[in-house]
Amino acid sequence: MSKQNEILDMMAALLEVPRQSLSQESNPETVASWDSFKHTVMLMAVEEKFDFRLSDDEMISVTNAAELIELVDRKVNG
Amino acid sequence: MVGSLLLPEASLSDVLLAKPGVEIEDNLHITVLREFTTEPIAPYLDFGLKEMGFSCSYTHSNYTLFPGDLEQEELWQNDPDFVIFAPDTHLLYGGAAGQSFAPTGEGFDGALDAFIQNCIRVLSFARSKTSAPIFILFPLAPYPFATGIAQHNDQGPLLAHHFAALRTALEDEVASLGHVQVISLSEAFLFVGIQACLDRRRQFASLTPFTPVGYREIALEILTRIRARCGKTKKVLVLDCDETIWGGVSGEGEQNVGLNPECYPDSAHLELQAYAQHLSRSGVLVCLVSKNEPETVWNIFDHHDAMILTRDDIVGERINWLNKSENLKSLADELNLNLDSFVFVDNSPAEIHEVCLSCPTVTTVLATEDGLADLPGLIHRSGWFQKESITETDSARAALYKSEQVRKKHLHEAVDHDDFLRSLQMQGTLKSGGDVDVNRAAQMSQRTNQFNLTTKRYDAADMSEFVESPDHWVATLHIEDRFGVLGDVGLVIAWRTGDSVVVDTLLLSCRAFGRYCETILLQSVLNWAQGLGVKTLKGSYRPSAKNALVTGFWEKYGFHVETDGVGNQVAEVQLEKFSIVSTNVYKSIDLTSWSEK
Repeated sequence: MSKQNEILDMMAALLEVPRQSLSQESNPETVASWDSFKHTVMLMAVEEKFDFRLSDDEMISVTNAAELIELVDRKVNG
Repeated sequence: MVGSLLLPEASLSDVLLAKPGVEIEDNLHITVLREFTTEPIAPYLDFGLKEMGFSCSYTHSNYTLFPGDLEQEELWQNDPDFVIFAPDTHLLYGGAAGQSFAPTGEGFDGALDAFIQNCIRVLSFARSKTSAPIFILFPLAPYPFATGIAQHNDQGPLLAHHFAALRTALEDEVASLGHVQVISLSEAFLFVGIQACLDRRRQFASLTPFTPVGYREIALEILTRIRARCGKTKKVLVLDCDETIWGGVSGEGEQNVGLNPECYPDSAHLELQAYAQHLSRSGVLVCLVSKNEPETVWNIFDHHDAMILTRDDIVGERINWLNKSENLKSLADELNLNLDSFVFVDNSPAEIHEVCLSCPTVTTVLATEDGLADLPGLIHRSGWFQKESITETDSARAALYKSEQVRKKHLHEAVDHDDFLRSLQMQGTLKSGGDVDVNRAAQMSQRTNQFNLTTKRYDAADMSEFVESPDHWVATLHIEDRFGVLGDVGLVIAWRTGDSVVVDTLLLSCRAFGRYCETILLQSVLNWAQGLGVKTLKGSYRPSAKNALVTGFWEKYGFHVETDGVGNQVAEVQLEKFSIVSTNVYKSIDLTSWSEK
């Protein structure tokens, strides 16, 4: 499974929405259940899953699914 | 991955993506009163609760717990099943939230007092809103401030002592509120280590003090308590033999069996045996399922000096060449238990896979060579077998089941079921009021699923309250027969309201099915109701995923039954027209052998 799909699957489970309803453009404005707490849990999950640590600035910088996927890719691949 | 996803080993992403193959039976609601971020506990709780057949919703408080915060309607409007109280430590350390160094001297004593008073204030308010069990997440002990090594050595133990005293004081203070349990974070984090659980940076940055591992360990402690409270405790531990409880392949000769306590991994196999024996003596039914010849396995049990488990510890076995899933199903039939109360341990990925496919509700554990030494700890941390208290019946359970096997053999030889019952020479004792063992009564209410009319769960404090109330009838039924003691196997709770007596709970342990015990329990309520002079006896049936066995209970006894659209029944009978003796249910049993204590 690609990283992108893994991340979107996790997001769907955490945000309690159908996987098909999520896309790279999904963000807290378009997904009602995406609040600051879910955001924190989501970032903790990707940190643990892909074994890296985000700075506070990086955590705040993520504003949609595409940015999260890109950030994970950057952290994993350098 | 082979086998079940085991929460003590699971990551946050694992639990988010997991799909437990268990049917959801009920929804729980948890209210969280917190002074730090507790949301990351939820994915772990969701996973563990789904495995027990529950979905769950949550309401989290603000980070502050001033009276106005606690009064927010949304915290209480969902009638929580459980409350979690997660206090921060700022009152202990006299600083901002998240601080972890202790003040010294009198300042610390004052801080301890302030912390306790705050906890009591919040807990008392919560108790005024709900009777649900409350779990307090008791914080980690602070670091001493001292910089001199000698001073540190003085101050460290003093702090530890103060902190232990604080916990005791808190437990004493909240005992009167009922159903409040303290979960010590230092104990919760013991297995994986405090360092692996703390995230100091995020504690300050976002009041998120724990790592995913830390939140998982907290969830495990909470789940263990919910499991025990909701009757979801596992009952059966099934062990493979070769490469699981001993090393090597026994079929290749006893000399190839690895059980040398001085030699690894033999020592790890022996520790698993010791842990299984401990479980057996705490009321868990330990069974063997092994592809072997029976005489090969029993020869090792009987003659190998290093064996820890004995035949007496094993209540059931399937030592043959059939599929393990078939053997598990047949053991479940023999023990009268559902497969979802089974934990199966085997070293073979293929066997584990076969059981997962054919018996998806069995919890499976792959005993790899690398993981073997950690297996007892893993089983313990999973909380599958932990109960609120261990009773005398638990300690004797293996013997109870073994005597049941002798009875069943005797039953096969009997011509008629009632002839069989008479031949058992049963002796029953009805214990009521102060004679009731409240721990055992609570345990039956928490463990019993099949013969349970309403599946209401009560703890020992509830039972004590019922026993002391003049408006309640609580009775347990103790049975013994020519083959041994069955123990307390039945419970009835009834209460008086106006001109009626209402049967709140009537349940039987599965080993007492088919002995007319329910008739005796109902008769005891009838006697009590007649003594009170009330006019009506009422009962109810609440369907669960497991109690279809008793759907027709009230009708069988001649009650007028009304059923709603989802199967809930309300039953009623006028006492002046009612007699249990007039039914033919226990006509063939000698009631004179039953006595009321």
